[in-house]
Amino acid sequence: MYIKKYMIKPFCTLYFQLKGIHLFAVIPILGLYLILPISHYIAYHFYQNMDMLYMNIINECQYLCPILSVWWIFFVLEHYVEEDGHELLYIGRRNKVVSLILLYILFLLLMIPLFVVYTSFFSDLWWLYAKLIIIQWLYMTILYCGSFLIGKINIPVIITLLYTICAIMGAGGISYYQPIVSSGIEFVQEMRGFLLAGILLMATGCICNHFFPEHNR
Amino acid sequence: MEIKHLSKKFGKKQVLTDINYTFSNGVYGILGPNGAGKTTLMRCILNLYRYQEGSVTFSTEEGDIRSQDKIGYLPQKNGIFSGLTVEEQLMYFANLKNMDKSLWEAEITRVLQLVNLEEVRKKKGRKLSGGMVRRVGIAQALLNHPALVIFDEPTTGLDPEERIRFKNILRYLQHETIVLMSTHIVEDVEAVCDHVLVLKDGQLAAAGTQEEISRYADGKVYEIGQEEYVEGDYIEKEKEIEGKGIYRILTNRPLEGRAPETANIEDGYLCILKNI
Repeated sequence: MYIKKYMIKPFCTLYFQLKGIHLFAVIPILGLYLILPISHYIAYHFYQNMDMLYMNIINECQYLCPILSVWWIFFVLEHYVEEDGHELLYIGRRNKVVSLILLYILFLLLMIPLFVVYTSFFSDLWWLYAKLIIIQWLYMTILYCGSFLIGKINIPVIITLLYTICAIMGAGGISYYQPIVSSGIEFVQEMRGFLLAGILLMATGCICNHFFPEHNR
Repeated sequence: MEIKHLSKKFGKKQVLTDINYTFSNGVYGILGPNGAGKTTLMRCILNLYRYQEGSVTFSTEEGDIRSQDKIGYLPQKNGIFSGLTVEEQLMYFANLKNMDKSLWEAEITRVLQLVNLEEVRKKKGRKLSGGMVRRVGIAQALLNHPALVIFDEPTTGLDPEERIRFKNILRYLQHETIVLMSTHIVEDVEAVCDHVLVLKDGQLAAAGTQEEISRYADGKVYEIGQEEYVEGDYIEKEKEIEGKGIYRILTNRPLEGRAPETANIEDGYLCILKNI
């Protein structure tokens, strides 16, 4: 009974939620297994240089993966906070964070085959994967906290897009798109701020989620 | 289900004040103008809103079951996944209600038959009309034989034939379920509700059977010619008979030599609202 309620039910819920968004559900998979490999192939083909391929993997993964990782989360959150009659989903179990964490983990799992291939060429790219775990966590918590705080999904989405653009352009001191780190200490030093911010946003999001249907009336 | 001294504030605004009522199986109509607190009351019952004072206890043979499993709720507006078929939408809600998967098929067939949507079972959400979407909403509320069903403005968007069907569903439910239906359409209440609760400014202004509510207007309903109208009379309806304008009014003033009309639930409701 416990397993059914806390394990099978959330997966079944997610299955229908993703099926409900129809063709949009395949975008993250296309991004990971089509757009990224094509981009790497073009980079290698153009420069015929492994260093350029290495840089292309680091850059493209950091541009694309965080945004792709919150693609499903965006639709599920939209269903939870904006859809007509969404209050129906808050009778009984209120907290929706389990669904979002499952989607976050699902995307990380989907990234693994890609990184198995990457690391067969460049072994230190596991650090990139570790880095993306933290960055994608931050993206998820921005969307979660923002959407339950204001009851709208569009503003948190704009924030994540702006953040991505700033990060790509190196504006505002946001500098996570850096060459790869190569030691645990370096990794912790670079990523601890993002992890902490994610934890704070998650805690705030959980509080807003708990009071959600009334807070958003 | 018992509501005791229920009070609710939004900030400093008092929305519900000291609501007390005990419900048993049957259909209850909650009548009130916009802003009277109907939706807030229903959401407090559903535990969607926290209330400052009072309690709502809901007990069955299985204990207190105010969880999603045994509650059916139709919000004022209900959405639908455009990419899911009607059957899949209902599977989604059956899963949320913790129904055993082996029961889904039979239960979905049962509720689809009730709302007359069996023919569109395999149709995608985006291909449904507004009325069909509403009926899918009613179907999901009826899944899992709920012990409490709450309908918020249920007949909005239904055509006349479907309204009749919906009223038949309520009659079918009334012996085994507590059904609360909020509406401002008095005919809907008149057609199906055993009991009526009238909310006014967040207070339970009156409650009782249809006859009891009608009695609030006893001796106050008259049909008069336009020229007999005086300020203070509440005009309920206007009609024309042989070119002469006739008002159906609610009034407290004595009309000598006139026999009052038989009061109905709408008259009673209006007398309560207008303090006549």
